[in-house]
Amino acid sequence: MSDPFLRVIAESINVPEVLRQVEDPGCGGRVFFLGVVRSKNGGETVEAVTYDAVAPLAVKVFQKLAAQARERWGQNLNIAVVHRTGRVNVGEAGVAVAVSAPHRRQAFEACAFLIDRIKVEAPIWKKEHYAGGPSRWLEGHPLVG
Amino acid sequence: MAIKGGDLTPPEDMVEIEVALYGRLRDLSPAEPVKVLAPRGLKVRDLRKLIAARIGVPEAQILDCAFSTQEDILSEDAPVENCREMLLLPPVSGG
Repeated sequence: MSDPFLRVIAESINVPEVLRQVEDPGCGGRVFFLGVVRSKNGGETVEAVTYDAVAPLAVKVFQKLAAQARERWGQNLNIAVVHRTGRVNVGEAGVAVAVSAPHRRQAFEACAFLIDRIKVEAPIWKKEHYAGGPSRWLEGHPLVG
Repeated sequence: MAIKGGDLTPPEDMVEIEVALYGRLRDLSPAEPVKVLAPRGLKVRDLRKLIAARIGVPEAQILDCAFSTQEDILSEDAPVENCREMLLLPPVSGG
């Protein structure tokens, strides 16, 4: 089991590098989620999104979620989370989550838990840029103080 | 308010708080971070009124935002003088 690989970065996500972080001969299941900017949202044609983030706090949230995942699905999980900042075009990756575990069910469930919680707990914001020039910050989930 | 070295220095019972804006809030204020003068003992929750007035929006527009540092969400009940540099975080929409 390795320490979780948790990053917020301004460069393109290197998928092979993320997958390498969860390589483990003791793990028979590896699950990889890649969140990619899609071209349509609510009837609008999307050209790109811009991600804004508080990187240190976001990584701290990733650490908390990784610890929760290990408590629930096993301390032997390997976990990698990488989230983008800046402009990301349609078809490019905004977030990657990789989990390896001894068995596939642990890996599937832990990966789903991580991406679901990242979307509502990590201090990251998404602005969509539409064809023709307008842009809009997406509605989100309030953080609790 | 005293003048010291050409700068305005807040009275002893007041503190200057710098608040950085994120997400949709960035579009509300071209001047960033926002600086507000707050009385000592004021709770974090009550800063919203001052910030809203400073950037010229109704307080209701930032009621759903949380205060934080670079590494921790702040308690709404914390006194403002505990943290002179804060972030104001709207509802999140990453992933």
